[in-house]
Amino acid sequence: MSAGERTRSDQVDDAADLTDDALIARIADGDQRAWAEITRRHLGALVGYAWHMLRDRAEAEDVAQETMVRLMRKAETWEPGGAKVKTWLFRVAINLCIDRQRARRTTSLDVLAEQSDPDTGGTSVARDHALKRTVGGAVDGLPPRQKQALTLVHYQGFSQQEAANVLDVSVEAIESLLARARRTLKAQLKDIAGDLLEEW
Amino acid sequence: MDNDTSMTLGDFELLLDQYGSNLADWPVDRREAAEDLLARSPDAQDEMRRAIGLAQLLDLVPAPAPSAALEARVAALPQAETAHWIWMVVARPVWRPAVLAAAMLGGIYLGGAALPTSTAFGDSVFSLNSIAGGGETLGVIESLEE
Repeated sequence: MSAGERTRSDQVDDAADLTDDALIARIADGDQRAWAEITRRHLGALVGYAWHMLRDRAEAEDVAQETMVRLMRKAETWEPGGAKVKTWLFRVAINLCIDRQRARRTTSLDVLAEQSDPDTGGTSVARDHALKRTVGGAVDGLPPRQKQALTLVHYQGFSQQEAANVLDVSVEAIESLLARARRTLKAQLKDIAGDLLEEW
Repeated sequence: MDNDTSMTLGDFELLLDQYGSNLADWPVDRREAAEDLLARSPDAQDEMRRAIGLAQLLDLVPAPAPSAALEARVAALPQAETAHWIWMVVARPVWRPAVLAAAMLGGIYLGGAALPTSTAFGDSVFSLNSIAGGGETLGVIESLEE
């Protein structure tokens, strides 16, 4: 098959094989497939990060969308080989989350149960809600930098080095943030959750 | 690998807190010592169980996936951004007089094009073609005065 006979699916596969930097270059040229691919790679993680920081789905999606808008506007002046796209995206998302947290100063834990079975009558479901609220409350009670580090590494699967790049600190600082966060959570969840953690 | 057999329980606890319960995430040069300690230390095994329990508890609070509506909005961003930039250029203050003038000229042109080429006034016929100035204009006006 010649290059001119390439199918649409082949072209989509091409986009999937490209680095983020290469995709950004194509986005700057108006390539819709490149935009779809970069969205596929990062949108879910952005929503996830923002949700853990804000505990509000609508706000998390707003943050993710605004982050993608900024990426699109950045595409033309993007310098390949500099900051990784993933790092840049999460720096933007972190700042947007901080702005929103400052604006509201409160966090609702009620939303932690929103993904559960809406039937709260059953004991196991009620216990599940209680666990989620307990765990979410403990995580939300962490100092902001510890929560950011934990969210990036535990929930988003970042390596220590990647998290350090995003938060603009050393790897040693990330290790320290994570160690303090995990120690706090182990202590708090052991006390708060009590019999819910009997398997411990 | 000089640390392979020298890991203390304190070292192990610290690394658990720093890197979590998945040894694959630990520094390569500490894994073997950790596995060795785990194999022989009940205290290390207890610490590992607590770390695994914490990871499992954290996983009870998963983030939602992007909604279909968000995915659609983000997919449409290229088009929305094109419209945005056009508007940003057009809306710049420096362009506003030109845009206003263009809009006025366009309105005049469209208004003129929409008018009929002649309009009846009673028994008299007023020719738009005569507005440009023709000998018959005066004749038309005279006929209106009669």
